[in-house]
Amino acid sequence: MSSNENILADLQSIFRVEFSDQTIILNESTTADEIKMWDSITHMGLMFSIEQHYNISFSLDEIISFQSIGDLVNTIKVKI
Amino acid sequence: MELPIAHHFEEVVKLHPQRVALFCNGKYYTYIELFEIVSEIREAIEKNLKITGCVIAIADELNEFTYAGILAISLSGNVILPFKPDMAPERIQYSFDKTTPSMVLFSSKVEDNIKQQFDFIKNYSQLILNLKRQKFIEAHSTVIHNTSFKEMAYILFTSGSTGKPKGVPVSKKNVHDFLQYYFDKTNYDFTEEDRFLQVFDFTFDVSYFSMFVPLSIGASCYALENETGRMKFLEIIKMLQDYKITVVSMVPTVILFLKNYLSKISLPSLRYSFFIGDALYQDATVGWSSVIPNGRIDNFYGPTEVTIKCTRYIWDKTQSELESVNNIVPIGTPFPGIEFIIINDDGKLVPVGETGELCFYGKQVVDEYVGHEHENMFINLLVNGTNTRCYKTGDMCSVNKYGNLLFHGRKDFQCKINGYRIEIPEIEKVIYDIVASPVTVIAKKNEQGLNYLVGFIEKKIFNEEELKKEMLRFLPEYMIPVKLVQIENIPLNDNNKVDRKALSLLNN
Repeated sequence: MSSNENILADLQSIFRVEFSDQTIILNESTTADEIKMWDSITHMGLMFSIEQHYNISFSLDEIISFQSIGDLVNTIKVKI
Repeated sequence: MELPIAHHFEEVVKLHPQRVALFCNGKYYTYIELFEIVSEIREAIEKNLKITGCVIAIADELNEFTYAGILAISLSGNVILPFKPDMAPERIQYSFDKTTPSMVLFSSKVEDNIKQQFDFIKNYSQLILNLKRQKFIEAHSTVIHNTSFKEMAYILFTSGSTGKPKGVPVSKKNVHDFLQYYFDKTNYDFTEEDRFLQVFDFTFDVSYFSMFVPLSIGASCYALENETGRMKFLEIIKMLQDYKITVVSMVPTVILFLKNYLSKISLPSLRYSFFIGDALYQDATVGWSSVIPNGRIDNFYGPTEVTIKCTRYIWDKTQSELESVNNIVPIGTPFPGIEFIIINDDGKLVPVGETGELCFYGKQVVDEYVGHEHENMFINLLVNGTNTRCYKTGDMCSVNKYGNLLFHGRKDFQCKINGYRIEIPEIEKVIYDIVASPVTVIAKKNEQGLNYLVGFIEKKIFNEEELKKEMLRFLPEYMIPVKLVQIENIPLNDNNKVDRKALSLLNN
């Protein structure tokens, strides 16, 4: 099982690619409000990239309920 | 003339006082509860205004005050002028200057913010809603009594090609005619058991459909939470699911962004899924149809100038496959009483089947813009021997062999961003006024087929973030280009016109 740090590092790479922004730094408390381009449209693209990366699948309820990077890390952790 | 909602709403209150009228920010309001709030606001309006037919500006806070306030303005026989508290102050001031509202309504929740942001508001009488303890502040010794818009139901300001917003006064008769289409049982079998989702703000006219129709028939209006912010589309899906919504009007963008997740959604309660505001794509609609096994998909078209919605196409997987052009689903045929013609650049009718600019006349078409401005948007044509005033939509359309209208794109440089109509020249003018250098803004499509804007500024060196911040003083956020690029020379084509295609490729 990956540690939170590993997942966080993976997510950071995915976010940087999705938003074409190499300066993005994530921690578990980061929310959509702190990342300018992160809205409901880009959120779906992000979710899709994360699912592909880990070969996992999120339910719609999970996709809707993610409030922070920490939520995302915890959900990924139990699926991989 | 009285707006039909006034009569119907009061009837429904008597018939079904305990039915749910409104669900807003986690709270249910029965018809009698909503009526009580409406009556308090209405009483305060009437007490201070004394006459009817005046324009009343209302802050669109998307809370119970907004819904009750909109109803109270209508029921008291006045005219709604909605504004968003997060809109650019100059834009709001412009709409106030053009319509001289007699009163401005907002709740105590946003009082500090509004007074801080909009200094000009001190020139208007304000009704600040804090239920049971309404405050009425008279900034002037006398309330302005301007009844020049007395026949109107609401006035909306849309993006204008001259660089200034266009004020569209929509009359009570226009709204009355529009609502008849939905009250006609041969068109829709809505009942008081229906739950309508209201996802738009009140500066977008579809919101009046999503609120007026359910509240006229004893059904329920479910309002999208006002704090959804950037996650709005996800919240729409959540509400459709959690509250078993039966009727919804949405912009097609919502299903475009869900395309990879449609297999995870099931909405068996949804009876009517209406689309409006942008081109509806056939492939995305096929995916969406699998999500709503018991629902019907209707594609609507309607400029603000033709009152909310004016043409309808009932989607059918097989037939729509045949009829869609460039993957765009037809927009169908006009509502009864509305007529259309398609003209070329010379203002002449094009032969059936050919593409030209779509124009409307008849019911639901507004007479003119505020201040008799933008007269070039109307044209007088000889139709069946009668001189007829028609509204030019600026949309390029044709009629297919099934008699349905097909949408081919905007004639000028208007485009839609998240359902909002945008006229690019308005954005270019704002940038030009700031940087004093030639500017061209182009609309592009991302991989999901959604529009986004890129601005090119000639020679001038600028700080992109600071420029965007400055632009926000004049424009809403959705009109700010995603990227602003400095360019040595804006390319021109053989006719010395800006070569937008070259710019589009350049950006790649």
